[in-house]
Amino acid sequence: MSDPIRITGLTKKFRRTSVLNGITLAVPKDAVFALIGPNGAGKTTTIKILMNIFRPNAGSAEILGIDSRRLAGSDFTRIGYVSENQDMPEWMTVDYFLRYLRPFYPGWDGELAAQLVRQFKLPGDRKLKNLSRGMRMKAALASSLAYRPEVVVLDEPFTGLDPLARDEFIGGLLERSQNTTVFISSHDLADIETFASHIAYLEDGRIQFSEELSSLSDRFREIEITFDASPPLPGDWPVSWLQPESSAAVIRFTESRYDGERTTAEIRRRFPGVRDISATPMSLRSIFVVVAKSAETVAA
Amino acid sequence: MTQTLRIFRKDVRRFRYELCAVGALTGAFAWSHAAADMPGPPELSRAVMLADLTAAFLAVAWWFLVSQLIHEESLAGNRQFWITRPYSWRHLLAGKLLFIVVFVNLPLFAAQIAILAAAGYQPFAGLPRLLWMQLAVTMVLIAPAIALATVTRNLAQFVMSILCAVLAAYVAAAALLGSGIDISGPWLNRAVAVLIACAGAVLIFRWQYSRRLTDASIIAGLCTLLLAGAFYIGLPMQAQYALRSSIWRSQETGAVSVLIAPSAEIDRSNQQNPLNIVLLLPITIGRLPGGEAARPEIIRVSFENPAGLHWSSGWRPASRWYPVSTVDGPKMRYQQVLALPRDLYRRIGDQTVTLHGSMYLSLEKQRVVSLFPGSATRIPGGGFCEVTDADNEKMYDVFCSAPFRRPYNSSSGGGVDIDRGAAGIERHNRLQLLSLWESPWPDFALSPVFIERFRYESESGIAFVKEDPRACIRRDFAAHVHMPAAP
Repeated sequence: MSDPIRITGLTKKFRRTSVLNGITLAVPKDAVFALIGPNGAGKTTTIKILMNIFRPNAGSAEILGIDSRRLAGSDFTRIGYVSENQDMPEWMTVDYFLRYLRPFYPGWDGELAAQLVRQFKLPGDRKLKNLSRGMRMKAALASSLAYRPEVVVLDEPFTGLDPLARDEFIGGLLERSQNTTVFISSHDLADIETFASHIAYLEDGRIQFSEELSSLSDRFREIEITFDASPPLPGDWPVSWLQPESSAAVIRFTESRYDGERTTAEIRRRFPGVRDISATPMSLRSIFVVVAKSAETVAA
Repeated sequence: MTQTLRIFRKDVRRFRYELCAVGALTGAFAWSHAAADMPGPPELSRAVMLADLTAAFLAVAWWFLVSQLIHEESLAGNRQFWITRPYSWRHLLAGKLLFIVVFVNLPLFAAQIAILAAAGYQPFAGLPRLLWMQLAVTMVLIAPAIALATVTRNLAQFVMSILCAVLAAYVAAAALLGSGIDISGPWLNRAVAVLIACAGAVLIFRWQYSRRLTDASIIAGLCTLLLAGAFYIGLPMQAQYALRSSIWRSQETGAVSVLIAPSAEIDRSNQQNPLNIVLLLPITIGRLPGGEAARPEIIRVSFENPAGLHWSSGWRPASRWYPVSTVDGPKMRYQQVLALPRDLYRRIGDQTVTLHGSMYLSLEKQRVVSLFPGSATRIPGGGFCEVTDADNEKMYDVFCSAPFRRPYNSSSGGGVDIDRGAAGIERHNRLQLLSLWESPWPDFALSPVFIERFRYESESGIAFVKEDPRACIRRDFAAHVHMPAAP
């Protein structure tokens, strides 16, 4: 089966402000695909185009083989969408909210809905407006998982959630999303790292990289080179060596195309007097910070 | 249960308290109108004021309810939960319209039936007109409210939009009045403006529900308002009479002629504007069907002198009031007042010019009914007027009631001679009730019963002159007319 989500050359402008500049990415089936990036990168805009809330100026977005511009009505019986800034029918109680939505979905699983309510400890008789932010998000998630959608799209779902609520949210999502493709945008890199299978980094409306998380972790290393004496930085600094800094007899940088022996050989070729080389795996957060800072430097 | 009914049921639950309030207001509206539409002295006008007030509150309550109903699944914005749920826009719209029919139109319909019955009219005898009133209320009050609600996100935006629209209308009206443009708008202009506004409203909410293009819908709404306003102000005066003459035709009017006398007069008593010369053109309307009177409505006159100088008055109201028209057997004479620029008149004065004219006339049967305290008469349209003695012996309380239309459009005093046979001619104070040919459909109001009450002073009773419209016709005429020399 083809990728459940395919985005090709997507461009979006709000009046004269360009938010997305021809982004292209594909989300494989059953992947947990995280779209990360700094504020204003265009993550929410991408998701809103995908959900046919915004219309693109150019390019296309497809979800489950349907052009997002044609997405409507019954298509949403196969798609779940939860967003941190979504208005909910605040006057409804949790029970009534789920009961009201149930007939809209032919695949609604009442037992699963009940399990989710129990798992999330949702108070059925309380109105949505009286729930905490975390509870509201969990109610939205429960209502989006109870019909076993093929794709779940989550836009910044962890914003404002305390750690416990976040854990419960992620737990609920992962347990119930077997055979479901999850597309999630988030700042919360530490959490994303624990469950995402794929990751794309969006910066200034452009995809900087999009790949499996394991390959990303493999190719990013924090390199520390120790010298006997203070070394000069070479003039032809490789583009894959990001954020270089030197202090006394040490040079540090991030290698974005790390390949064990090849990288070591390259370092030794450029720095003949090197005493020691260490390559440390990086957390997703560290990678995110380095890539973001590098982009800022290039922009400056 | 279809999605439409699910949405409807959800909205009923959501707005149960608002529905109770609107229901109570509808009941108060019916009760207050039923109480106010009874014959009685003019002091009862306070009850009429109360009834009018409940009608106004009811309209405001509907607007509130409609805005809340539409905003429940708001169409403007990008944060609504429902737009990523399997809603069908057709079912959503149908659910909203069903709600409005059930909780706005049906209660109003029931209230109107109650008001008609309380006033002594057979409610179902005028069923088509009752249904028409429902349609009119929907077109004038509900459809614009739905359209406005579909392009606003919440009640605050909705109310602000209304206030801005009212302010803009006020400024535009003041500017137009300041420019000397008549903004009263005859019925056809009103009807066309309402039709345009309603068509625009339907287009907007259909468009919003199917595509949610709020910016484009707002632009479409503004264009609709401008277009409706342009038609309201700019629809030519003759259009409504052209329409009337195509609707109200009579076989008996073929012989009716309009003749103009070969010499005009200058009205020397009416020369206040030094830039104009006021001319009086004697016009005779002849070969009228028996027992019918003609009422000149609008006229257009053009002159051409032997040197080829041409001037046209354009369509303008006929001056049927000056001097008082007289019926003389099958003819009727009157003088058309025409103000011509003095510069122009100097070039055609004391000459014989070729005059071409066109006129729309209403033909109507006039019946004079003499009324004294305690008596009543039926009036055109199925209503009645009755007179009761007030405390003062020369004062009469007049009460008129009619279903679906105002009992009369205007009244005027004066004298009328009643032939008492051997007793001679009796001069009565004349109360002329003009049942003008306004729109062919019921007047716009929430209540189907229209009443008028007032106190009238008369020395010797009251005479109603009831005018029963027969036909509207256009006549073109031409003549060589001698213009008097300029003063």
